Amino acid sequence: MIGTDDAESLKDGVALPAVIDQPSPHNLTGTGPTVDLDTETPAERLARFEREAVPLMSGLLAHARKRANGDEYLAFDLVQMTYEKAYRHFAQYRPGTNLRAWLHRILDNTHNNIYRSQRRQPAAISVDGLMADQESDAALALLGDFPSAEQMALESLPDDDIQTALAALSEDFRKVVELADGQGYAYKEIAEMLDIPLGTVMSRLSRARNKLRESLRDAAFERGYLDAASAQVSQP
Amino acid sequence: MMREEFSAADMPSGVIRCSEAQAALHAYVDGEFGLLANVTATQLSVHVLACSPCAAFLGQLKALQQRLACSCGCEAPAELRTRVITRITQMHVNGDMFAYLDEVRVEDF
Repeated sequence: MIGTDDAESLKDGVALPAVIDQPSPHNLTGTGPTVDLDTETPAERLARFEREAVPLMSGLLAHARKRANGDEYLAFDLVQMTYEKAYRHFAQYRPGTNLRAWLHRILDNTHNNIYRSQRRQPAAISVDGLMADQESDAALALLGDFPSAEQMALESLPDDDIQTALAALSEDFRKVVELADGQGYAYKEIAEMLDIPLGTVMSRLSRARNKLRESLRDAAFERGYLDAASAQVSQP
Repeated sequence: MMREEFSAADMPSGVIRCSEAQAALHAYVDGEFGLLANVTATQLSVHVLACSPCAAFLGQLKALQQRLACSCGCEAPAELRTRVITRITQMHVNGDMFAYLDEVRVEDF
């Protein structure tokens, strides 16, 4: 299957791999009832889009803020462009798969395309190293197409489990995670808001995320989303 | 099942360890990679493309971040919500023909 956003990427002559199209194991993150795509009318499709995709906007905005480096207007534009593309290609989205991941992927591709088109301008290609870094960035952006069991569990866990795991963090850790991942603030902004050094932001954030992964791994095991072997995967 | 991680002794210059790669991946998913002076994007991608545990780690980090986005109850501003809904409603009214063309094109590949 060709991924939905490939129509965009093919225009640029770069073949991106298909979007994640494995159904999430427990069908908690995607479309609930099955949809007959062949008989769905445009009006029904619009309604389904508004019902399922639009409520994910807050999360997308947090993600867009990270990509936009604190430029709120760009973040808004990225979200809008993402929804335009997503709506245009919504018939290609496979109901029951991870809609959130699909939208985030489109946002990343949109951002990469802007990046690429900027790079064609002379000022941006003056440094070879920068070129190389952006190529690598594009390469890394493609990873994650073959989700691990733990990744799929993370995508499928109910929101309650996420909240429980967050609540179990110490306040220092939770604040940093909420500002960085919850709202998409930049490290520098968080450092100023909490009046702590940048390095502390980074170390708290990575430790907090590792703790969250640990407790969510346990939660996934208890729910039977992960078998004992996958649940015990330690840090590589 | 998992291959052993690179040990320091195996490190040709320029090759980074899993621990360094993973610290860098936290910054990478935050779009803060530019803050890191010790690891280049090329070093990071060479490592991650060759190291399945670190590739899996990246996927997990992205998934975790997606789940945490706005988990704290913040809402996208009404202004943006209205802008988006207005736009897709316009597309619905005016743009069905283009949507159809897009679908044909994608299916054909």
